[in-house]
Amino acid sequence: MLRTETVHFRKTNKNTVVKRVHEVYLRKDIPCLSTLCPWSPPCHARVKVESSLLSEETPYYLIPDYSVALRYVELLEQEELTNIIFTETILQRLQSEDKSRTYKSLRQVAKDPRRRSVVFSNEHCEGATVLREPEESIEQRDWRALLKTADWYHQHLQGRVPIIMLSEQFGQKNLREEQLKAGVRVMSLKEYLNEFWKDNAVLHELLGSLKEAILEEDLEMQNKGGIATKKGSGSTGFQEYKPLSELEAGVKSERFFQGVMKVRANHRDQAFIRGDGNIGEIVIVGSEHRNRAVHGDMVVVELLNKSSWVAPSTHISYDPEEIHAAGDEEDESSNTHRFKEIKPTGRVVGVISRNWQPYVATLQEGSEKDSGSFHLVLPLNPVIPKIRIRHHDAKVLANQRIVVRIDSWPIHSQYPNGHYVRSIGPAHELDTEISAILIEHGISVSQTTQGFSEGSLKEMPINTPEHPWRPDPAELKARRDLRNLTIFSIDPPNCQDIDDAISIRDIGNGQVEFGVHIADVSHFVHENSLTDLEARARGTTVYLSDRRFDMLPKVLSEQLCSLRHHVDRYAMSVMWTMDAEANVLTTWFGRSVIRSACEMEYEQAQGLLNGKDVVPGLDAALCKKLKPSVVLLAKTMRKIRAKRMMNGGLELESSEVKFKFKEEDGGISDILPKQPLEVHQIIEEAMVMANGYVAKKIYDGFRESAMLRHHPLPIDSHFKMLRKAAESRGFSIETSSNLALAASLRDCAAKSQDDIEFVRLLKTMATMAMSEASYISSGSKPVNEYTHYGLALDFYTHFTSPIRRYADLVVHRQLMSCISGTSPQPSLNAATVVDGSVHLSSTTTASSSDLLKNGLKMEQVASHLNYKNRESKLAQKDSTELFQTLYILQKTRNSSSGPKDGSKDAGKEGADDDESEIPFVETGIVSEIRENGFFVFVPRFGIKGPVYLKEKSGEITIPLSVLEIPGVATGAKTSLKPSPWTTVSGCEMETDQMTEITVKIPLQSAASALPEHRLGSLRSKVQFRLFDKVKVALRLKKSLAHRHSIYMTLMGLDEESTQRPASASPVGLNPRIFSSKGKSLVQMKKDQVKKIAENDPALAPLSEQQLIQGITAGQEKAQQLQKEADLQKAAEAEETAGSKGFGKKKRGRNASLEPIDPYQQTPLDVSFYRLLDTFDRLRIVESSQTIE
Amino acid sequence: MSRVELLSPEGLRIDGRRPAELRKITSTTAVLSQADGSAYLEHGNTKVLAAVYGPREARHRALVLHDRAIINVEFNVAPFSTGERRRRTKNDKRLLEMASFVKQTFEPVVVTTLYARSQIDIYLQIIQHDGGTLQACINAATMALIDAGIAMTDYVCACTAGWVEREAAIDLNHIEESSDTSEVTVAMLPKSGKITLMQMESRLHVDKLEEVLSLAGEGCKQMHVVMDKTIRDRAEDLAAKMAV
Repeated sequence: MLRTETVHFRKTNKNTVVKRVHEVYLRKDIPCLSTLCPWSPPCHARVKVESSLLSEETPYYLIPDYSVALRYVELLEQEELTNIIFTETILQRLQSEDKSRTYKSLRQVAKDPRRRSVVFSNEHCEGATVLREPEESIEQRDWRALLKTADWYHQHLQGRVPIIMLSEQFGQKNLREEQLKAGVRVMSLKEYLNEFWKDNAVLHELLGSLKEAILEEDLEMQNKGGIATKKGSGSTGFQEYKPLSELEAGVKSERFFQGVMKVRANHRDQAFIRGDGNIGEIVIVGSEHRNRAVHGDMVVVELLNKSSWVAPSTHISYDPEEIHAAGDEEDESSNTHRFKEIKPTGRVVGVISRNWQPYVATLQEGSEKDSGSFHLVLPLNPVIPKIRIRHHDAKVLANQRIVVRIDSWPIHSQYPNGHYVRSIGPAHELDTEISAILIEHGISVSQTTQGFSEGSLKEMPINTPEHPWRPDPAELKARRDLRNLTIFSIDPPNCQDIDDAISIRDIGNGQVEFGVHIADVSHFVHENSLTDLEARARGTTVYLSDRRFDMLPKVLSEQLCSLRHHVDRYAMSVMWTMDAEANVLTTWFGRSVIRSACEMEYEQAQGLLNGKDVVPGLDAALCKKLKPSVVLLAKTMRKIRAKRMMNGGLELESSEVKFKFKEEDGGISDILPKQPLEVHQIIEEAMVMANGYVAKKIYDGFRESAMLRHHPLPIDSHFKMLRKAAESRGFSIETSSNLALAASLRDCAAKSQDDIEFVRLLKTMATMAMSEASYISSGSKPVNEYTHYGLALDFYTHFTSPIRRYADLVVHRQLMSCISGTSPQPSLNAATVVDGSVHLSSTTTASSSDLLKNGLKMEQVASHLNYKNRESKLAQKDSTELFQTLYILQKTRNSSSGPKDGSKDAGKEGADDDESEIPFVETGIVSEIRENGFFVFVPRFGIKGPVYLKEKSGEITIPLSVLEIPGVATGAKTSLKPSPWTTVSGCEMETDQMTEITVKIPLQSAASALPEHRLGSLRSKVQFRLFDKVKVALRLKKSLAHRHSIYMTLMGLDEESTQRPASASPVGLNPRIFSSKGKSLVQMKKDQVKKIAENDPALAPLSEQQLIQGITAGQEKAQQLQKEADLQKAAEAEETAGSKGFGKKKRGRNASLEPIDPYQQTPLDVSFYRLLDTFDRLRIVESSQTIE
Repeated sequence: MSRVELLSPEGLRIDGRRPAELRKITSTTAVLSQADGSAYLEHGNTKVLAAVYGPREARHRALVLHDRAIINVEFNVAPFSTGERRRRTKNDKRLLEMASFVKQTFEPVVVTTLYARSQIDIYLQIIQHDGGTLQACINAATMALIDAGIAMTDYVCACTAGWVEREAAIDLNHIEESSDTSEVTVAMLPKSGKITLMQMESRLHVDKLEEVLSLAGEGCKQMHVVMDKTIRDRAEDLAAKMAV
């Protein structure tokens, strides 16, 4: 090693000059990290280093210089650019100039194995660095260093690959003679794009916008001197951030608090950061205090004086626009409500790191008419502020969803500055909205286009009709042959990716042999192969309501890995022998080959369980073969489940729905809530058992780095809402342990057999109070913290779905390693031939067992998977909401007039066509009380939406229909009946913001407004309590810049709720007939029954003709439901009760009808089923609502 | 200065060394003609001069031990040794503490029973300070003692080690020392592996202790090789001169 010294002079605070001398060691062993390295062994084999390698088939290697790295990072981040060499020179320069965000982005690019980019430590490499000459500027010196590096690479690789240097500052003329000859070129970005990426419009556009953004900044810098004195921070009230050293000192001394700032969608004007332990959450109120921090940034907060501490508002926001404009207008209402506890309040004094992502946004309306190039765009996500971008032609952007990025937020500007990246498509079109969802949640483009790179497709085994795949005889010998067992799988109908299959049989002595067989993905996907890396980056298969984005190529996920019936398939099996009481005697893990006898559907299996001998879709012989296994399975799993419940396993709810699509135009025909059958629980229990045993096994083998899944204990304060809600109905919930919680919930359920909605909502609230379950590496926590609270297991992991989750694949590899004692598959280091296809040489230097044994890396993978999982769930939630709003749009649109999609409507909120809108009325339960209204949950569709009692103006209004006391004549003629939307204003409201809200009507104003009503026929006050049932009309608030949002208008009360639930319902129909196990189908019937039973004021606007139509349609409906009831509850006693109920219903129908009927409801067996897969079998703890 | 990366993801420290590498060491003995034994040692940019006088008659009769020699260590830090010029008094607590460390390190190693009623003085002068002064002083003192011909059971080799970001590293320089790393100085007798001094002022997690110590042990062995070479070269030199 050569030793040199660098000398700097620094100016100290005392205005003296200090000379600092640092040693620099120049080495000869810095690896070039290229697969083309001509030395043998290649340099990366001689030194231990973790990095991807530069590829060999590329036409050039890129070396960007500081000017490019500083300003055009985004261009370097684009996936198309690969084989970039980041020199230590520019990385060091970025660090010393405090550009840590850019630094991190570059490091990220180097870490991503698909980009094949490396970091080369040229400053410590003997032939690749230069000493600074006297009178030489830093830029010149750095440039010379880069040239030397390019030279070094050229010589080292013996000229095999040309080197291209990218620079915005220096050009070809700065090269010396011999370099020109040597194949080193210097290009500016424009030249580079023009030569190599001529057809890629996205890159060119990006370059254009970046250049514009830079012009902007430079202009600002110049003008700063002049403007600062005039405008300064006065007009916007923002303060300068404190210097980093002061912030760090403050955090250490606990004067300041550091954390990630989050804005919640429902609370405008308020941001929260989670401080450390004792302080809890800190509120930041107002945009001045937020001081230019954006949701997701890591900020430092200083607390205000205790006298200014504020209670966070529980106001429901009226529209998304008002959240953007947090602080556009002053609003005092947030300070005046002190019903809830006061939380520590603070203001932002500095930002440690920004977390600016690409955001989907829409041009503000009216903006396209503005001349000039600055425009404001509204991001789709309401927590992000409006962004000012510069675009030369705004008309092109009007009504489009576009992707923008934020560049900076100068102190005198009310909005951050950003630039336009690209357009997605017209707003409110289905494909555009779905793309927007995917971009917002970071689901990469390649995943959405289902694109797997050519390289990874080459790795795939061949399975075509001409060359069908057959199991390899050598492989068969190494596996346990279980093809003689009766194995079957139970999945939703039309399921293509079958991960799991079950076998169970009696082996005499009262003992049972039970096996769970999982698709053997790790056999086909080798560690660190291209497919593996791609799957790791994707993390999970993403399920949206109508489509699915796979993690693995179809040839694996739907064919070779999927355990299809009647073919041999490789599997990873867990086999137990158990005694008659389901106590486990032995356990066996290992690789096997199976032949599934049947791909059953849930309904079919349930049919067999219910006692049928033949079910539709399977032939009689098969049914005969399977039935005993299914029955034995159910018996065994029930016992196992009971044991787990005794330990405290929780049974919770998630309100998920399935969408049924019409064949013709992709419109939605119906939304159905999930209908849990017993067979769902059985399969779930089997999977949970397998996961639990595998978790213990891999923990034993990999103490420091096993991939486990844990569910931390819920925070007690989250249970407050649940406890209060239960108390309001007279129940008490014990939350001291999962056992206590489960017991309390069961108790509530048992005592409220007639009020299933209440129980469901209670369970949903319990689900919301839960913490999030996540993947961990066992080395990162002490062993007693691995427990899974919701499932009541000490060790848990994900093992049973490797086709759609990457974590399971890692667990498979670890399990194999534990069983065989060696690493599962050798990773690729040179070209090998497997399965008849040639694999490319290795992409990284890491060896196979590295990841499995290294606790630190496993932690990184675990947190990456957690992130991907969360984003995928959010994307799914967004897509569900999108389709719900689409459904409502369909239903409320007047069929005679109106455009296809709502975008041509009169823009934003307000101005509903009252007359042309058909009320779409459903029953719902009050689920949350807020200060200006309450939330109602409609269980039929799984929609939760707000009902506003207080208008934006502060007026308290209530719909007239709510005030009318049913059964009392109003004294008005039918023709003069007001429209269902009439409201009475000028009321007063009281609430305790937790459990009830009361509205009082001043009778004089009611009298004056509605002369045709007798005063006595109206109520004088209405009270809404938590869990009350109400009737609401589902409506859409249309908006251009945001997705349409659902809100609700009260239509009337549900009579039962005014009395205690225990008493009989008015029409003598005892809902207790339908005492059920929470089947929502029964729920649906009950709702309709109730509606029929009352004289709905909502029915009045419907015309005669619709009534007639309704009656006939209603009869059809009844038959449909009858059919369904037959299918599902053939053997149960309820059926007789049900038909009784139907009889009564038929009688009742002549008088009134179900408001649903005017809309054509396609019968069940005709509609086209697209499914939401059962990835959420473990929905118990993985409800999407935990995010809130 | 903004946060410096002490260990890059490529495995290089801030000056380009790998975690288990020592800095460049130069050493010479017999640099002072007047002292009985002297040595000059450079650990990278840390430069130390050691001078040994003795065994000679004790200065203060009160301190004399009847059966062994006393070892007296004095430290001096030149005011120009750090980045900013700062003068330190001789009675600076820190210096006194370091001096007592060195004394404790050598007491079991020097065969003091051979020199009853005498005093051995070790004077250490720090000329440039760039991290790892204690280790450099101990090493220089060893060489100076050997140069003076004082009987010792073994070399005493010292090395610092610490936990830099994610790995254990040896021979920390000034930048690494002054940032949040925990550092331990270990002085070892290379033949037997016995440790005569282990000094640490910061906090280190007990799980990491083993790795750090073993690395320090390795470092000491490397030091021993270097010091031994210097001494032998000098000895050969002298022998050649004498063998006229």
